[in-house]
Amino acid sequence: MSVAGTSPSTTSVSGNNAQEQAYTDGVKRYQRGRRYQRLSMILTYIVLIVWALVILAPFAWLLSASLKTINQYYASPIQWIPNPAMWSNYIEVFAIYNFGTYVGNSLFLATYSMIVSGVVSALVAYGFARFRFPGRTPLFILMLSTMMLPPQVLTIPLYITFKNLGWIDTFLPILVPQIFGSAYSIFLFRQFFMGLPRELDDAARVDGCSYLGVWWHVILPQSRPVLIVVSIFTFLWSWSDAWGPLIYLNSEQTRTVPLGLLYFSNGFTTVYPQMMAATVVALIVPVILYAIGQRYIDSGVAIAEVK
Amino acid sequence: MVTSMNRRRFLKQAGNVALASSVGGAVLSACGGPSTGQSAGGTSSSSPVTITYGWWSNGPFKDNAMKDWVKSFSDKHPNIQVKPEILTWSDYWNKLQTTVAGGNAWDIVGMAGFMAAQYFDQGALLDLSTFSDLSGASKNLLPLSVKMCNWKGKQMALPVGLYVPLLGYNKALLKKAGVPFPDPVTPMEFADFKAAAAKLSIKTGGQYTQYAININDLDPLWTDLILMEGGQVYDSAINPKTITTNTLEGIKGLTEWQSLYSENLAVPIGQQANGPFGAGDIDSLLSGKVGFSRLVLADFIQVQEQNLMEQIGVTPLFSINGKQVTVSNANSFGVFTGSKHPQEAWEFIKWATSEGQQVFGQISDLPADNTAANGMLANTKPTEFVKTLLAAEKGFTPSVMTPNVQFSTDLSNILTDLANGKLTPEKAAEQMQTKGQADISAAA
Amino acid sequence: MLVLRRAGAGERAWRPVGPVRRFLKQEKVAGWVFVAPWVIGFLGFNLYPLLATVYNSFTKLGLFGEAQWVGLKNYQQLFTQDAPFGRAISNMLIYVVLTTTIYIVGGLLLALLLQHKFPGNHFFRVIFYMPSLMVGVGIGSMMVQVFNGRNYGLINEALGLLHIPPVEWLNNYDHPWMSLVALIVTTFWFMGGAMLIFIAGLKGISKTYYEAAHIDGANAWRRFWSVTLPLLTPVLLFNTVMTLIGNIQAFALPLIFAGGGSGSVGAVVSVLGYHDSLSMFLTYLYQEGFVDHKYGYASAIAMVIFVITLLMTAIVLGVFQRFTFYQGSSE
Repeated sequence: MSVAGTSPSTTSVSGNNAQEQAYTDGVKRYQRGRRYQRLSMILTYIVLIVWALVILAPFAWLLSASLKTINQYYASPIQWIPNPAMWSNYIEVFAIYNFGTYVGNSLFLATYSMIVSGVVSALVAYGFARFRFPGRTPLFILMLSTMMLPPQVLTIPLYITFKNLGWIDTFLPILVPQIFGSAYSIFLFRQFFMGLPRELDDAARVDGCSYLGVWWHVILPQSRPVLIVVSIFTFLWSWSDAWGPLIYLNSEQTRTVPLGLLYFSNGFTTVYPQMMAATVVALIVPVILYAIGQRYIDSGVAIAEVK
Repeated sequence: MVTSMNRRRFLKQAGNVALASSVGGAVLSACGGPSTGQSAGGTSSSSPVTITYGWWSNGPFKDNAMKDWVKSFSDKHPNIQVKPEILTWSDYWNKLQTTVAGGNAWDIVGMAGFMAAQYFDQGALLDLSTFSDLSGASKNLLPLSVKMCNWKGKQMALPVGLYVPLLGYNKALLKKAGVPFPDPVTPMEFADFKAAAAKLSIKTGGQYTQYAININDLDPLWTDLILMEGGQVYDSAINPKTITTNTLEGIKGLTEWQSLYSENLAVPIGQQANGPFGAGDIDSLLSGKVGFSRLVLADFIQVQEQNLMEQIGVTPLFSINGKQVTVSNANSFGVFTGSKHPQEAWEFIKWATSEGQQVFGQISDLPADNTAANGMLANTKPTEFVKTLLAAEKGFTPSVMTPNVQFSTDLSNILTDLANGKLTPEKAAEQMQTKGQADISAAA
Repeated sequence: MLVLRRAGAGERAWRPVGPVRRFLKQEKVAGWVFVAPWVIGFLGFNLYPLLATVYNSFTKLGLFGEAQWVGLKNYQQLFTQDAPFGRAISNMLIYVVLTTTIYIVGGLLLALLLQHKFPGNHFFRVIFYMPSLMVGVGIGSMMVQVFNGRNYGLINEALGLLHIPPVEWLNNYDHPWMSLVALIVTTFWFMGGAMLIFIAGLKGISKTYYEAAHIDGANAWRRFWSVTLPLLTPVLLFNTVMTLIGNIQAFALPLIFAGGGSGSVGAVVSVLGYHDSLSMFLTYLYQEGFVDHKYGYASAIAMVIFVITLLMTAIVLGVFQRFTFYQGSSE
């Protein structure tokens, strides 16, 4: 596509020729750039849409299965649109299988974990990232190693610990450990913090800010992306925890979602459609929270670029 | 699990059972170990006692019925409150072993036959013979089932329900194939069954869309067949010392078992648990894809309520030369060794295995108590089905109980290969005996 | 000695004063104060189980009873006589290497595609992360359905549309390793987690660097290699190490594929799959510890897994050490 109008050869003054050549080249590069950008945008969309379809296929199956009867469930080839659609499955999930209680319990535990563990982990990570203290590296390595031991072998000694504290059959074994942070979150925060420029820290300290103040006023505002991500992960981890609530809680009133999902099958039969409906219900809360939360990852901004 | 440095021993009323507990974490643990260890001595105490009860889930309706049943015990014994906890199958065993190892399991422990061996073997349950009224409590129970809860001379539990699988069939499919309905009380001969089954496996467009029988839940059918041929597999099903499959009868039985797969009469192994042929008991029979499938007492309620007798019939498991064997299991109640209220737990068990049996039979399995079992004829519907159940009970034989887990794994692999035609029955019989024997001996 | 004093106007309520204050102002001490919560938690909840496991690995311990000291016998048996564990090691090597690579590379690609603003950006982010938002049991039944055999599974149906004969994934008796392949293939659905972390990391890279590079005339490709990747290395390191550890500790899905994909005869289905074909570290640990109740042996297995994890992590860390760029660190 050529530039409308001008042709480069009209002037006769020697210097202008080169200037106008540069101009046209610039325009051509711009247009090529735009074309390239549009092409890459289209390509990106194609890739994303194809991949999204691949990811969504099992969910489409899940959703359609949740509205079937058991016979339709087993029909082959797969009936994608069930007819009639058994919305009653969802009602059963709440009425017979008591899912409302489970969702409430899980929500409480997950929100608590997200807030408490997130805050404490960010504090601990601040210590690892910004302070030099003796034993820092060995301690950090120790922390990493705690994540490397298979958790199964720790369950029984941990149970005995809680039993000796008298915490069995209470929420305490699930709530209290959150106060001490989580190694995973600490590690993630630390990596992120270490990537933040020190100049802002120093500026704030010069202004008389305490260490905690620097954490609150300087580090955290720059860390919104990682804060969101850690919150999502912590919430999700607590939401899907099937072990703690099983072992440490013992009544139906305190039961959580992952345990509740198993009650759809027993030795004689599995009511798959209802189970799929419950799975969808269990999915909704995290999806909503994540959909809202992930918008804020973008708005994290590095304050006052130091130029 | 007994752990590290500190241990304390507590002597319990029932004898020298070590309740091991340990000092908890350095910073936060208050004092070391619990100071209790004594149970209320003698007969039921005067102050109200709460004991815990564990069982696995059979679906929300039955779970609620069971909870009501458990709590009804307190009507007869107002000083003892029972707190039930009902978990799903895998969760139940996970929690049980964690709490057993942690010293904190339910007072009344529900035991399933084929999971019990390890718990019996490692002393997780009290020896009930330390209670003086054991023989009185157990005299009305099916003797074979009481034996199944006896491990190395110790009575580890009392049976409360018998699991007796029946053969349910889809009437419409049988009619369509021109197969006469099997007699509800007299078992079919295996040869006759196979003849009928040949008509029930149907191919459409190169693939099987209908199979005669799903034997997934009828395990261990191979043992049934060998026993019906007159052979003997274990010296004793309970804690066997020898396994003999490499015999004429053994090979015959395995050949017959394999033929179910090789002749495409049984749903192939890969499809047994997932996919359209792998639905549960009643769902299989209603799906129209399977001719015969397992049916148990627990399914009767659904049959009755949804009026399925027009569609489903039952017959006992087949016989060979008139000999019928149904290898099955007993569910039982035991008392946790570390229980703080063993006497109260024992009171519950006594009640559950006698007066409580009537109701239990409606919730769960065939009662082990003879009176209750016979009484069921009047109370349980559909009545025709109950007749079949009682007929099948006659062939009740205990399923194998061994604490060696590798044994089951090895056998499972061999059987899978046999079903897929990778092994001949002769080879399979030989391998089962060699590997099985090695595993059993290693357990000792 | 007055340690605290009331605050004047405009100050926080209580401030430490005098010697205590000077003490706390030291960087060394402040550092310890900030990491103290984790340390306390470790001492309270992690230390004892850790030591107990180490101790138990030298004992023979059953479901209920006392531990008997057996010295190195567990380890000896593990290294010389244990076939399923050997199988687990070879399975794990293949699985961990492939899965980690797919996960990191895929996650990074998706993050790069989705980091900028364009219509539909958020929508795609939600979709790609959705599988990871499912609770364990849900993931299991979904994935089993995806990999179901004959023409009942989703993949096989899709293959059927392309006229490719169905593949037997989970119950393949002729090629038992197909279940491992299926397990590796599931990674493609769960790349959302890595993607999320990378997006957060990418957002943390100050725009000034890009501007500077652009002024210097760097094109997109060059910008990626010279600006993005180096500044992303802290997060890349984290992601790789945590993914590695997470994959070594894969448990739920292998368990479901081995047992509940259920293709073996018998009431007790092996959690290791047909002829141990899907034997993985943690399922094997589960088998020995929770199915077979050999806690001493299981503790030994756990220690070995721990050491292997440590070694693999050290290798990854060593590789990264040469390339990681911490902008504002106090290294």
